[in-house]
Amino acid sequence: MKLRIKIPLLFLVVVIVFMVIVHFILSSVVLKSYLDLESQEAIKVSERLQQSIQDRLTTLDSKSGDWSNWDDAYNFVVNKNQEFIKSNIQNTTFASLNINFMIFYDATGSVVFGQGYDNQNKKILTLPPFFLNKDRQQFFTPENFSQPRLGLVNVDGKIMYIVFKPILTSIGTGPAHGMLLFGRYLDSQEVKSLAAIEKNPLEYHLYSDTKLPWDYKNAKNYFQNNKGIYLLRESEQILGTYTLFYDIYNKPIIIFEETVNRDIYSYGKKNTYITELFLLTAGVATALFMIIILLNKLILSRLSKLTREVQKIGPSGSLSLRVSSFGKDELGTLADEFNKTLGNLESATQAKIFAEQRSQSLLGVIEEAVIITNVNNTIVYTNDACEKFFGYKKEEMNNKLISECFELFDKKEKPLDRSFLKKLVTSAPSGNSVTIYIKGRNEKLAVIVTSSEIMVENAIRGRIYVFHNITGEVELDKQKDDFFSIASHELRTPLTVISGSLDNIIQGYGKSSLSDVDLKALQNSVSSSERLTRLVNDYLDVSRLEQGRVVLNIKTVEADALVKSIEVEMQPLFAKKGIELKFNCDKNHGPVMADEDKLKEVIINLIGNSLKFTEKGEISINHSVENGLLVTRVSDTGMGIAKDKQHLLFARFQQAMDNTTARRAGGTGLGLYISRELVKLMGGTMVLEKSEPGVGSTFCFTLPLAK
Amino acid sequence: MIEDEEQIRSMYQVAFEALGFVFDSAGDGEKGMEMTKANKPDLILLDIMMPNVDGLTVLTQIKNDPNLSTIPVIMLSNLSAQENVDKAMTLGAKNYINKSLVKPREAAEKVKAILSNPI
Repeated sequence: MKLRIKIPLLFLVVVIVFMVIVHFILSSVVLKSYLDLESQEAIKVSERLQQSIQDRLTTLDSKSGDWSNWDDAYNFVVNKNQEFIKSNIQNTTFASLNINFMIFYDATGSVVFGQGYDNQNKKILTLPPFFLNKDRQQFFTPENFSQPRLGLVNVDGKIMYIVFKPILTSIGTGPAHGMLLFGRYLDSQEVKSLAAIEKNPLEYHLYSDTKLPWDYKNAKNYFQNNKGIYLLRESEQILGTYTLFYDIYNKPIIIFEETVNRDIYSYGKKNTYITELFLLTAGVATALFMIIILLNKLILSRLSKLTREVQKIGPSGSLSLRVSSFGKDELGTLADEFNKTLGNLESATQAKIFAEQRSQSLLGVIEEAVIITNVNNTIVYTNDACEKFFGYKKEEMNNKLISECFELFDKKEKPLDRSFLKKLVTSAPSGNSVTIYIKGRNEKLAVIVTSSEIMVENAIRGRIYVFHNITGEVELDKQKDDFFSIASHELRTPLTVISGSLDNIIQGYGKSSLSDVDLKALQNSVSSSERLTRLVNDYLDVSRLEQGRVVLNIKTVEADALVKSIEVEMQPLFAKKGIELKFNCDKNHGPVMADEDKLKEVIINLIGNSLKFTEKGEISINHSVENGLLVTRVSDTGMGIAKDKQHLLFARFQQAMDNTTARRAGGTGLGLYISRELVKLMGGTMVLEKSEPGVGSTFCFTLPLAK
Repeated sequence: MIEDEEQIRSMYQVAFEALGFVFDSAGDGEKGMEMTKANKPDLILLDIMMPNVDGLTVLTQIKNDPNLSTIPVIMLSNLSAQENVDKAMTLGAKNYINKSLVKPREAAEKVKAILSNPI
């Protein structure tokens, strides 16, 4: 699980669990004890009410005592002398005694005197039958008759305190002449008075009432099986305390409900809340504390461990080390990613080391001298070949400019500008080759220098120069060239003598006359020696071209006039073969830039070739201007060249013809090659434009027009 | 003619004499200079590649000698490279003939043309 979920969840769980425990403890223990206290308090309230009612009865009892233990009354119930009533009992007597009924019974249980009085309304009350029918009343039975009784009774649906006492002499001696009853209604006035004593609202219902409110019903049900008081927690603020009272027959008679404010409960609850709040605060603090501890365990300690391990890897520089596994959360992922990165780094580094070593080995092994400079052309690297080539130690070259170490010369061994190499590389940054001479401490060397810029993130960081030593080849070429020149010269002299002397004979300078056969033989010898001379000359030309020794004399040349002069010059050859030579110049263009002699050589070569391979028809020369170049086309109606031979045309010593044809034509196989090389030197190109066997060929070359 | 190859000298002699020229020759530059000074010929055919003193040196000497400088000199060489031609022409040669491509007869005709048209 992720830490960001793990930690809040943990926090939440800890707080919730803690609060549940706290709430359980507080409500089950603390709040319950308050409820118990409340119950005890309610019992006290109930007991106080009971005591109040008992007090009423006691007061009534003591008041009746003055009347029952009195000689006058003792005598009265026997003699029934009405004087006693008149002198002692007035309506005010009821008020002063605070009673509603006063009844004197004789020993037989008959009423001697009985009167009721409503003190509030000042009205005489008739005696209820309850007091008259002695047979129905248990305490009027003869055996109980002389026993004093006091308590509550239900008189026709009204609750009354009564006191029932034997009438004795003033000194309290018997035998009892009768019984005295005091009665007092427990009316609404009385309830108010009781409530005033209790200082709580007080209500009541008769136990026998058939239409009890629901709470009284509950109380009644409770009392049927239990003793004591019934409590009804009507709300958070109010508690109903129900007390059951019994009548003098010890039967349930009335239920009082005293409504008590739940101060204790409120206080308890408030205390509980305060405690809970306090504990919640303490709990959160504890949870936070625990979380910090857990955080330490879950993260910080692991983080420290990870840090220690990473720190260990850092200075060691060993990429093969790994941190240990850290589980599956973010830290674990971090460790895994770190390991993965280390792995990648390790393989990348190994690859890099390998690549570096490979480059180093390569640079050490190769025969080319390699110089690497920074962007300021200061040497930062030289390979082994450099020491061998230039005669410097590596340390001598490092941190020096190239121009400080080396002198550069062009192909003709003329000194080159100091910044030549830099210019070379900037003119073609991706690699460029040129042949130059370079001199360090050792002998001057002919080299092909290849250069390239070292680009890192699109910025030039340095340059690399590779020097391929071609001194040997150059020397060899020179020797070959010298040999060729000498050989050619040496060959030419005897050939010149042969053909010149033969010509002298043919001309008859020796005054000798020749037979036709001899003459023919001499003429063949002359043409063969001429051909041999041409071959030697062509070889020499090729050699010069390849050495780059042909020096052109580029000037403005009137190409049209040149072609016309060639036309005139070659006319006899055409006439001899019966072939027409046409020259078409489509418009008046300016002169071209060319070496006139070489251009003439090229045109003559092309016309000569065409003439050689054309037996009938015509050869035409066309001049036209295309793309700012003069295009010269030489077309013939000759034998043409097969497609598969066309690629051989411009190769050295190749004739695209079969051997017989070539021999018959007497070519050297170098003409087209030389012509094309010359055209190239003059800044043009030469191609076989089209050729079809039996139809003819068109050769074409371009030259730049003079501006 | 100043020419180191004896065969070529004799070949040219045959052709030139047959065409009515008075022809004399020297085998090297030094001898050639002596003969030139002694005989003051109408025209000199001069080879370039010769041992000891080469043709271009001889040409320079001739052109630097006020008594000889007016004598037309035709260079006669196997060296066909343009630079040689240019050099010779600069030094005052009248013409430059590629020895291997021109027969003695043709050379003689050219000489005749030059001498009959001295401008």
